[in-house]
Amino acid sequence: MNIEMALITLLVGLAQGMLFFVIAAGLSWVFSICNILNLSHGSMAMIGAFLCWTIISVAHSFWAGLIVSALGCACIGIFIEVILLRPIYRRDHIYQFILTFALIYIIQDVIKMIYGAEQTMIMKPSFLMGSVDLGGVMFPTYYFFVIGVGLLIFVLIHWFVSRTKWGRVIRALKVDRDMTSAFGVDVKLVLTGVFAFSCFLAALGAALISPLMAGHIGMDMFFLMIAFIVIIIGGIGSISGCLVGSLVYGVVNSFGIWFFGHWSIAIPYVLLVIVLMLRPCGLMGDPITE
Amino acid sequence: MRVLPSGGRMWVYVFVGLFLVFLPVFAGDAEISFGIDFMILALAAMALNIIVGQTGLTSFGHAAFYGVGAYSLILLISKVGIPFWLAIIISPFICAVLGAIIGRICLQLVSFYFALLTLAFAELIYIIIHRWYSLTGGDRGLATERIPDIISTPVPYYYLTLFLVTISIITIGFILNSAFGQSIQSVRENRLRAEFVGVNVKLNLLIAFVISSFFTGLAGALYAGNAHTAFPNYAGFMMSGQLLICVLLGGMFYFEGPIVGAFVYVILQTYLIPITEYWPFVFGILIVVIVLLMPGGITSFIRSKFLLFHAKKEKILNT
Repeated sequence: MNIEMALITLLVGLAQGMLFFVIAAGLSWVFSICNILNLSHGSMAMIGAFLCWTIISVAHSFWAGLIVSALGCACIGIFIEVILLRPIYRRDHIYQFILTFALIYIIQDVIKMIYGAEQTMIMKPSFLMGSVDLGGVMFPTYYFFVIGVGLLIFVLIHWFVSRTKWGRVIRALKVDRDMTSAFGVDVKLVLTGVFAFSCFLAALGAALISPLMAGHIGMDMFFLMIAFIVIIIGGIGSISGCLVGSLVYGVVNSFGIWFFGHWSIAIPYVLLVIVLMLRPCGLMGDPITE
Repeated sequence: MRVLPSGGRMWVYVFVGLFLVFLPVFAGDAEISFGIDFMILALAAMALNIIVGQTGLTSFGHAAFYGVGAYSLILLISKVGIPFWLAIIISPFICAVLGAIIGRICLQLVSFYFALLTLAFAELIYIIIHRWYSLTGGDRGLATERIPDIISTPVPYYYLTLFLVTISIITIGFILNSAFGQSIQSVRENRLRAEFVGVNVKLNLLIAFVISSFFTGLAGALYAGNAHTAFPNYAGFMMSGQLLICVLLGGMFYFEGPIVGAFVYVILQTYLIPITEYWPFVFGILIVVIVLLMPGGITSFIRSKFLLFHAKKEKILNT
């Protein structure tokens, strides 16, 4: 009984970790490449969740909901990047913090204007409804689907960064923006692309979470906090670190709910404090140079 | 950065001080409660600016001290049973002790990681307050009936707040103007060089952090004393954000910056809430405009546009 319970808890943790990976990967990218601390990342994810709900209730297609909401969020991301973030790339982090913090207010209220205070719930697509039998333990198919999508995204990002020309440009940008620009790369365009992609991932992750968690105002802070914890545990700027961080987070959180119940909500933060104290750069990050 | 006022600025301070002293004479209850909110927020922002503006570190978690200050006041009065006057003195010290512990751990790290670790601690404290029903009452908040009658009406409480906030701000001014203040500023400008000339960087930063948490806690306690209640969201992330916004709106490199920022913030909040249900929306847009158009905050904007002479003179003095 206990082994079965542990197995289920582990799988749930892995699935949740994968969902958080999809959301957090974008935040990690934007921080390491655009050098911007984007506090409105959770809000972008919230837009994705609500957009997905709207599209599914209009078009009755889960896939359309996933793709269109992610693309829609990417467009919003382009708009935000071009209008608001370009002027402040060179400024102190703290200005980027306050600007994206203001975006949290704005996006939250826009969602409230459009949807009111209602909660939105999405049904799982029919072919992912059932459960898989794991030697006597029933486990929802949807979780396997989520784990698969997360792994696919991880592999795609990894391939893109390490094998393609644009991936090379992005790695160069990370090291020295001015030098990359001097070699004739349109840095502004690449940064816009990276930001748009991060919003794409945020919305995709939120849309994938939607069948498991009702969309509500306030989920933006939830997403933001988790994304932060995940990328710090994993190490900022490294995609594999982000994957490790989110899986660790998911599993620890899942077992925490089992063992601690009421107090489990504190566990991620305790984990974060421990990791930061022992290894400030995160599990997979580069050591800090002052 | 010069801290103590002189010349023209001195008159501005005297004028603002006199205005605040005589405000209750000609103002109604709404303006008085506005004044109390403004002064408390100004003190909290001022305390945060010891960290942000002076040491150059960013704390995302100062609401923790604000919340703990508020809760310790209410808890000391209602559960321990000591009188209000003693409680309002003890609660900032509780925050200072907490600040020493948290600061000791957080200051192991630098820049961005410091900011995130403070955020993590603040969230931890928020969760403890939110979940410990038997002690804090969780979501329902914590109330006390045992505030002395003499300060349970707005006007006396206004003067109590004015008195404590003025003393605190003058104290902060003296601290920042002292040799200690100079040494933490040297850390901000160049940490390595400060270490080389013999500044004990970590100790100085820790002391600054403790002072900052002390005054933030006092602000929280004052707020709870006025509201007679404490809620978990006093320690929440939004509160930390509010304090940072005050600091940045006003201008973090000016002594009076946080005060100006707090004033603008409270005005916006007070007058936007009745006008529109969507005040955070309007508020967010205003912040975006200010960040894009007034990079140094309102204080720097005012100085460069209207007090050109002063700005020039200061630039010469500072270089």
